[in-house]
Amino acid sequence: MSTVQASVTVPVEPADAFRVFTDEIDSWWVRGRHSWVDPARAVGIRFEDGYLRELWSDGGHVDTGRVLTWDPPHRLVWADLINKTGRMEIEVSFTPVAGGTEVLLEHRGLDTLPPDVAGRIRRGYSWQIALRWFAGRWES
Amino acid sequence: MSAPALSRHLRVLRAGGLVQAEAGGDDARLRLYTLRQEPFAALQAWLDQVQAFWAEQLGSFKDHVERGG
Repeated sequence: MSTVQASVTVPVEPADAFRVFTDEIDSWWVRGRHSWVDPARAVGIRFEDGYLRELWSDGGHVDTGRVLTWDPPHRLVWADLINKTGRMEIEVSFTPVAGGTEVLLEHRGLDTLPPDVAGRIRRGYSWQIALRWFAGRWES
Repeated sequence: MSAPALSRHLRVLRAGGLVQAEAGGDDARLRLYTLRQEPFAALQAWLDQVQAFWAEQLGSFKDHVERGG
């Protein structure tokens, strides 16, 4: 219950899919209110120096993920750095299929933090505290 | 599981809001515990939200690939 998955099939070889996913993330990343740690300052995103990095308009940045596995054209894994006490990981696998590459993303460890009111990931809680928070939302 | 151990587990679950307890009629020693649905529904809503987030991101990735970068 703590993992979600999403997948798409793209009409290119795994090597190209991996390259576009990583090198061109700034071109395809959806700019939404849930997309950034600091929506007021965020201007871009890139994989750089072993991190997934959110770039800011003032020249600063925040590292949102630490790359654990960089294995083109097969697999990419990063650990979430936003939820400091949680243990969230995101794994993306690239599998050749008829007509292209299946890209499967798995976000694990979601039971280590709660949603906040805006649905944004802000800070970490233990599983027990998260459960209490879930329960507390519904108490009258 | 021993009765005291069971009581401790139930106390943690009740403190977390996952179960609720009621008195069991005439017998003062008896407590009836029932599972509360709401916390689990909230967790599921959170997971659904994260799933929708990634589905949208991957959809945009696919569009970008199909446009040729």
